[in-house]
Amino acid sequence: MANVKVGSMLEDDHQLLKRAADGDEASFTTLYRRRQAQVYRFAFHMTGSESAAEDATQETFLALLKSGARFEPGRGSVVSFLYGIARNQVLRIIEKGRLEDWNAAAEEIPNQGPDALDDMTRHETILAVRSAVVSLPPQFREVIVLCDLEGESYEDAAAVVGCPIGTIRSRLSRGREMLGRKLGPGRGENKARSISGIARSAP
Amino acid sequence: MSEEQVKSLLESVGAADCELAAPRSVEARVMNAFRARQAAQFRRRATAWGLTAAAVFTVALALSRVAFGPTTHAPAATVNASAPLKGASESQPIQRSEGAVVSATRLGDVSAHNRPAVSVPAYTPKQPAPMPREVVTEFFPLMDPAPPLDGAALFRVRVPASAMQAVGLPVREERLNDRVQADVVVGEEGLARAIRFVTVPMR
Repeated sequence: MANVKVGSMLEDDHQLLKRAADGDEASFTTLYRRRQAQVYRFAFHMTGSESAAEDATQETFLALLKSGARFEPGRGSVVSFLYGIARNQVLRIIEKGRLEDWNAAAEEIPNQGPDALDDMTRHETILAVRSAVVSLPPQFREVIVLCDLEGESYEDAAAVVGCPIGTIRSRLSRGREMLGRKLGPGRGENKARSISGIARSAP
Repeated sequence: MSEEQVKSLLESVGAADCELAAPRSVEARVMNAFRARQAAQFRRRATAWGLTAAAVFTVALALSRVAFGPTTHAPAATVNASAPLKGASESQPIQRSEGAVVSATRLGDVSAHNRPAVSVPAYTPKQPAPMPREVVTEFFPLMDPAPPLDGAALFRVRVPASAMQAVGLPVREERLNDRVQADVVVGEEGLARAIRFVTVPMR
């Protein structure tokens, strides 16, 4: 009998979820490792807090174990299902006011380029954008995070949030407008360039 | 800043943050919770099997009462038991007095939750006949490993001879459907813990 590697990358998320619900640890591990980063980033960008994002990620996958049997493939992807659970976890965290003041914590700037000043500018811009996103009202924040930061489609975002696609579009537009005011006029192009790491001319 | 500039900036931040992921400690906690959940499900299934076995013997007891009426017992002649069994109605267990060697640490009174589920009218023979001496087998455990036993009751039931075969006693094929008497130790939680078979030799 040929060895069938249970939980391989060739299996889709739904097959992994079904096996995990039946008690297959390897399938659950594969599913976790495949999707945990998306869930973590969503929670991190929504809360601005690493510890809150860790808690939300953990609770999301534990909730997946309990409610995985309710997943219906016809209603969306496992990723959307995960985002939906993570969204509930995050909103609960936000309501409880469990967010740390992450801006106050010193953060080591990763050295990714030949110019330390470029790195600092890049990192400051990233922090500024994250901070601005976290300051948005939750209903605008979540669509900005899903669509602009995580690259999800309007359809998938609508499935996660539970509203029509038209609502997603209007909230995106409104959210971007609010961010534009927070981040300052006329500096978006420079900020984007600094983040993408286009180096200044060498001294 | 225009909406397009904001969108571009957000996409740049999303790309810069694409390496963000939950730390290994979150995976460890999630997998520990998965294993704990699997263990709890296994224990629940084992308990369900035990309750099913107890229910089977309870039904057998009720059927025996309907078919044969309650019995009173003369002192049991066994190598282990030295005390007589008191008479029992359908709603009370046979009280084992001191000196009997059973697997339970003590035999307690029947409480409401482990009475037989079926109510059987009491039968009072006009002329109680003297009971012949009984011969019993050793007690065979029905749960392995058995959870701690705080208290138990002893039920006299009538079961098919196939129950003897189930615990390893030899029984001829043509006798498997014969009815035999058995004593079942039922814990306070309603689980059947052990069984022994009783024969009443013909005079």
